[in-house]
Amino acid sequence: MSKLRKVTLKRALEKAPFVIVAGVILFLFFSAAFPEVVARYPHAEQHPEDALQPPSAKYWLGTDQFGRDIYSRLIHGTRVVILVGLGSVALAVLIGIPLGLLAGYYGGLLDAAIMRIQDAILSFPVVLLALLIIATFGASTLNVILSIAFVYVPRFARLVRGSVMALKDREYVLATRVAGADDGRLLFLAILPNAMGPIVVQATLGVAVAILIEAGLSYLGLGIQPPTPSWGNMLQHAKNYISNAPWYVLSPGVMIFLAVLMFNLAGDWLREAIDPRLRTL
Amino acid sequence: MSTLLQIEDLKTQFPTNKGIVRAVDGVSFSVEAGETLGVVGESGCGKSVTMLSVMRLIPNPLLPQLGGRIAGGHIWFEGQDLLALAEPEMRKIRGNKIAMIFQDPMTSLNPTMRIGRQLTESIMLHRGFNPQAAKEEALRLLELVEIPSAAERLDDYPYQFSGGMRQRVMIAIALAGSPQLLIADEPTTALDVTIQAQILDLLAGLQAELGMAIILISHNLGVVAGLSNRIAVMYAGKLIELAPADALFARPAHPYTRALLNAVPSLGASRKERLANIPGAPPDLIEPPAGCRFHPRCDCAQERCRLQEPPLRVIGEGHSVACFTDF
Amino acid sequence: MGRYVVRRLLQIIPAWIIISIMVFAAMRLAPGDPAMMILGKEASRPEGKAALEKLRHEMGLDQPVYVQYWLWLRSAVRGDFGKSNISGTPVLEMIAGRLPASLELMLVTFLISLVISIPLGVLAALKQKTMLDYSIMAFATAGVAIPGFWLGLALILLFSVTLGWLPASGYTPLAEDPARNLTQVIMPAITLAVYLIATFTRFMRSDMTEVVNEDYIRTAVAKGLSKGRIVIGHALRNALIPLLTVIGVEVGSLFGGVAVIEQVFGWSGVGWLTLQAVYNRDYPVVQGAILMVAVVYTLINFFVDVGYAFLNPRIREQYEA
Repeated sequence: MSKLRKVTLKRALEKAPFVIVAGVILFLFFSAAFPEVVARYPHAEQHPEDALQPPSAKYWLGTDQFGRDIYSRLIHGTRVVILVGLGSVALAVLIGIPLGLLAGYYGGLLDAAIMRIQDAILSFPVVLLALLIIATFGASTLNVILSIAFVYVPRFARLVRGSVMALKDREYVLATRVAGADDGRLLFLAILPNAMGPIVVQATLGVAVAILIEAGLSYLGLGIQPPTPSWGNMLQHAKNYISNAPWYVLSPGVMIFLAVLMFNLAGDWLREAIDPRLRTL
Repeated sequence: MSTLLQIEDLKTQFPTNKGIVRAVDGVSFSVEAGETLGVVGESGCGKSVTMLSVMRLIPNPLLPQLGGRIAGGHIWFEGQDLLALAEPEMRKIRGNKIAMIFQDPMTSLNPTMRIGRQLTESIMLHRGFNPQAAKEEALRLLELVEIPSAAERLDDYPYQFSGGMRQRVMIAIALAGSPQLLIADEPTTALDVTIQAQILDLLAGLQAELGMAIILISHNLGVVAGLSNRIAVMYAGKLIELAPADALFARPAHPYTRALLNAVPSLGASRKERLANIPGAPPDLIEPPAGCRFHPRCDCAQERCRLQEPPLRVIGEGHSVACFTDF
Repeated sequence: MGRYVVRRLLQIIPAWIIISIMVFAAMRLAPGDPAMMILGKEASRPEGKAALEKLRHEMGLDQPVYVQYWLWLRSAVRGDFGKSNISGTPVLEMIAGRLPASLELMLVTFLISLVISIPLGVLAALKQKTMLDYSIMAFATAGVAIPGFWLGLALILLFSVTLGWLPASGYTPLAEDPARNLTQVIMPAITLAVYLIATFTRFMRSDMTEVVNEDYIRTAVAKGLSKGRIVIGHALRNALIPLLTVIGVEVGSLFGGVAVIEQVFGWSGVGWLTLQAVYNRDYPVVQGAILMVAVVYTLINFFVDVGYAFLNPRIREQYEA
């Protein structure tokens, strides 16, 4: 192989992980948006005569106890998983950022009050707090999103607060204030853009955690309720057929693992990309 | 006097994203038994890297796959080339025959280990004492470096000492193996001026008492002036002048040395005089300038200086310089 | 040091108050009248109304909210978390009964994870950029992405269903039958440990890398000490201190994981108790358990912070000098 080919191949291989991860994430988004295109059967369609079949050409990942195609159900399940993953993080960010901005910028009693509440929320192990909220308000897709968001708000609030406190005395902020900007403009146009880096990293990693929590809650029957398919609630039924249909147990878990891994990797890489640039700020 | 250490054409390099940094690019000099050699130069000239190479601390033996590497040359000590030794052999030299103390005593001592233990560790390793005898020796060493209430302080942690005291402890640790050569890398830079003088006096006294050779590195000429028998001046990874201390200060040859001496503010000068500095900046060590590395900043540079690198040549009694100017 | 401890303690109090308010609020917001639930169908019939009113009064449900909170808090502080809606057993008793099982599981999990992750992380750090390092880190990266409950199921599939080596579920107290207990605890413990091993290994690798590049390690090398001595005697003792903080944080995730894993493996601990209570709408048990866990978690973090401050010489310097 010529030297130029070797160098180009090496460069391409180095970029491969990024491409793969981006590709899988895009596939997940696409499946969430257009499951009919990717899935082979409607998620509720039953073939009782083919119940609990191992993977085959007809049913790529086998069938469940009602003869539904597992592959198709997994694809359809992507929608609610992505919805919960992105929705809960987006909500947490939308609430957490203003809280953090207020606490970090104005300090004093407001800061103390807000942060004490955040500390209290952080004192609960994540899953248990979500459990408490679900136990109180009942299990539904909306409640899953709300409870995960609730658990995550303090993490973003703290992050933003830290950034605000670090940035508010910087020269460019003082310069902006001298130029006549009011507090709102200052916060949103001058300070927030520079705090976005860690927020994006945390948000990406947060999606991964949200997927895991949703899967766990759904597995326990306290998350997404059937008939809406989710990878977690598929496992709830799969465990009953663990001895005679192992494929039923394995495939949803692999899906969860893949999705979480992709967002974890994306978050880690974003963190690396952001870091050196932050140092020069 | 016999030659204790002979550095021959040492080359040490660091790979970086932008290329290979040639931090030390062909440096040769020797150290005689019992003498004090001062090594001066600005930050980045390679003086520390040279000494770290002598101790084979580059790369970090715990992470040999990262960092720099010694690319060439020889370092003769007691008839052996240190660069050719296997790591276990080199370990017998470190702390034992050649010891080194570093710039920042705050970070150079293990913060979670008692001082006494950091001392006895070395003592037991190099002198084979049992724990009790090692403790007594540790005490003796602390007293040697003039630490008050030494007996109580053996059980203290580094954070309980002041900067100057910590440096004394570092010296005590370095002496644990009765080394023939002590390398002191900017030992006073991180300390207050008043403490600096104390540490230098301590070193002078220890040398007189123990007869060991000292290599004293500093970017501060004043520090080096009082103690050194000979002084080596380094610039951009090269040795550019080597002379007995008196000769260097009385008749500096290399334009860089002269500029350095000029730049030292004097107490008697009028306040209206501007401080002299050397125009320009040190060169890039990845792509150093052709010819003499100092020529872009030199006010007597000739055509020849841009094309050829001046070799080190003798111009007086023990006085060599790397410059084309006729001295 | 004392000042730091006191300051940290004072920070906990407001957190505990807010936690208690949150748990109490969850209780009040839950649908259904607790008294009605205890009495069941009886209460909806006209004859049952008197009994319902009486019970409501006994339970203090007719008082204003803040009074109810105060009464509840007062009892809770004394350890009285009420009684189970289903069985009538005092909540504290139920929790205490299941505590040894959960403690055993968590302890075994911790032991396994630390024993494996610390050497693994150190190894990855020292053999950086080699195949060994890349393999270890690949496992670690995968390890944090695996859903715990699924891993549990997969292990059951392998070791119970396919190989028949280990029981799929159950709990026998250690004192009763140590051998059987061991076969039952091993799979849930490994399931829980995988995530911790992955997390701790990743941390130890970066932590150790940082430590090995510190000045005092250079001094140790310059002293002529052997690699082993430096790594264990000098580097590790400094590297393990920040690990303490990470452990404190991950105890929280362990608490969450325990709840699910106990259910997967039929391990009769507090986690499974809480889940059963959630299914049965046995709110006093749910609230009691979660309140206790939150309080314990804040205490654990407190001890971790104090321990860290004590061990980290630089922080000690600030407070003692």
